[in-house]
Amino acid sequence: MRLSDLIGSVVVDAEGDEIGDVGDVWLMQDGPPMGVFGAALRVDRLVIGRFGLASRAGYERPDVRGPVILARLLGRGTKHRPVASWSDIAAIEEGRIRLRRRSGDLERPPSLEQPATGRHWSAGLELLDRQLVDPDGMMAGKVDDLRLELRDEGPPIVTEILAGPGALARRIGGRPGAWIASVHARLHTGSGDPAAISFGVVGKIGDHVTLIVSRKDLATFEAEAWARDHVIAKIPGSSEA
Amino acid sequence: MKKVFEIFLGILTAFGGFVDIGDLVANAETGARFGMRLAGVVLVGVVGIVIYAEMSGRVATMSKRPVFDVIRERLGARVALVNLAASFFINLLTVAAEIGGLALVIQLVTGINYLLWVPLVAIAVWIVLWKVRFSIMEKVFGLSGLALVVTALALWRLDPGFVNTLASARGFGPPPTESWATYAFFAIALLGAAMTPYEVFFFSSGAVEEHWTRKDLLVNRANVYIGFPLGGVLSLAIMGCSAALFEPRGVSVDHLSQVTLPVSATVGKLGLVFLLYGMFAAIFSAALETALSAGYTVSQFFGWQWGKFVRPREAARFHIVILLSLCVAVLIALSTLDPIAVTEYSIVLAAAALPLTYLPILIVANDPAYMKDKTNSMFLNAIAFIFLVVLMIVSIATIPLMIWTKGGA
Repeated sequence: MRLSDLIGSVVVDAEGDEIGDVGDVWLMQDGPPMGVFGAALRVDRLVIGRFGLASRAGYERPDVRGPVILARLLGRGTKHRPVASWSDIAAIEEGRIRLRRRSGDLERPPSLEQPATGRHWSAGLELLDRQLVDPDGMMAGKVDDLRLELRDEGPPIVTEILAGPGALARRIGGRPGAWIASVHARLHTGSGDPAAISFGVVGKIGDHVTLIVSRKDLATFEAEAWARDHVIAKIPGSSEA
Repeated sequence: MKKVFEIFLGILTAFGGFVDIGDLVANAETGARFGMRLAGVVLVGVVGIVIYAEMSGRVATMSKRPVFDVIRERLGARVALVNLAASFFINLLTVAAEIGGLALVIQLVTGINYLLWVPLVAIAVWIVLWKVRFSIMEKVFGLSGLALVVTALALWRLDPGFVNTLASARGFGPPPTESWATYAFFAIALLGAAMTPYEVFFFSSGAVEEHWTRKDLLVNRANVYIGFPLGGVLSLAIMGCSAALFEPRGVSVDHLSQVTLPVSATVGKLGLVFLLYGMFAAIFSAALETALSAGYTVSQFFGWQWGKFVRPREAARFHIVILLSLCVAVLIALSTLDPIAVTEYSIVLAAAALPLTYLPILIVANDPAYMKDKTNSMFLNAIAFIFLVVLMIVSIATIPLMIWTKGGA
């Protein structure tokens, strides 16, 4: 399962009422150990409400305040949104998530709060669409999507970062998305699966995501290497600073 | 002492590099048709680009995230892709306009048709992008652009009388020969020329290219707060010359050679040489900036390595985008579409696309997760917000006005 399978799904409560879309997913860093990153990220809460400009602006965080009118306008719909825990989910269907609880019984925290132990992350705001940077400071793609692994017990954990057109296509959706996917599939003799990077090589998550392996050793480097070897390296002076 | 010199050089570079083909065309044309009645719009445009360029430079300095990274993070993959498509297309038109403009300047000097020069100019632009270091490239062409100061001298020689100039600048509304619709259309063109999106793409990526740190925030501020307004004065001087020479005679400006007339008429041959040199340098610098911006926007959207701070083979896809963009720009310029018309469309469409780029900059400039203690002040936020509202109105009005006035005809 991918993060983009969750975000945007319609949420239906125990009485069969549609109560909104999955607007964001809050992750908690307390899963089983995973490489240098430490404890894996696990899905903690599904935030219900649209994942639009308002949620992406991040005005529900108390330290982001200006400009005042923009903060009021965009922050209004993003505070006190209902959230569902993984255990509240009765069934996950195509584009639809059924809850065991009624919408009135769901918690409504003011915003993403940091617990006493561990660390909470907003997948939509703090991970998705962030730049990947390798230990040499070279850029290695974007966090286009996340792979979630379902477990027998407990909520799913984040196992891989998906990067490149194969992952981006599904996020874009519609005709342009299908177009990107078909171009990607044509260029890759394989199954058209997106390039994946294990979450175990993530060093730090900040305004970019730092990896501990060189971009040259990642699946996302294939296209860059092709462009280098077949086009740029053939032009004189390509190795000069 | 070194810092003072660096700041001074930065201001001069920003000053000389401010004007491009869009500013030349829009200001000369409106000067001839509207006198100084639209001078206020240039001032507004300069204030707008100053505050948003400063913000984008500060964001890039504090977080190392240039503008298109921020656009993707705040608008999401889908809306950012729409912005990329629009911005890239407008930027491509701008590259074509700059290359066409350069070819026209050479035609003025040599008398040989500009179409012959178009491919040669594009090759020259590409060689500079491939071989020359970022800081040298920026300084050489920016400083050479200072030769445009000769237009201010021409304006002084034309002596339209400051009282008359100010009186016509203060009046609101079109002259009797023009309608409100064309007045509004050219106001948008001037705004688009002063605030074209490539400037923030280039400026913020430049901050990363030059490895700016917190210590360079002062350089950022000085470049923008002093250099850009001085460049704006040049724009107004071009408009003033045109207003003094052409408006009373009812002459419209539709060729680049007319932009040089006020200078050659008042300052003479040497002045003309200076002007042509300055125009060539300023437009060349803009051609470099727009071609780089094509690479910056696409690479930053997809997360590819970009920049001239690494060797070309380490940013292969970035250089391929630049190369292909230059090729397409050459085809547009060779299509014998009037280069002046291409310029007009590029700046007017630029004005329409601005909010999608400026909104994410404004949001992130307030986010301590990116900015630490360097978030916007309340005062800056207030002005920036007003601008955003104005730009949204402009962006809605642009296309209908373009159709209504048949492109300002």
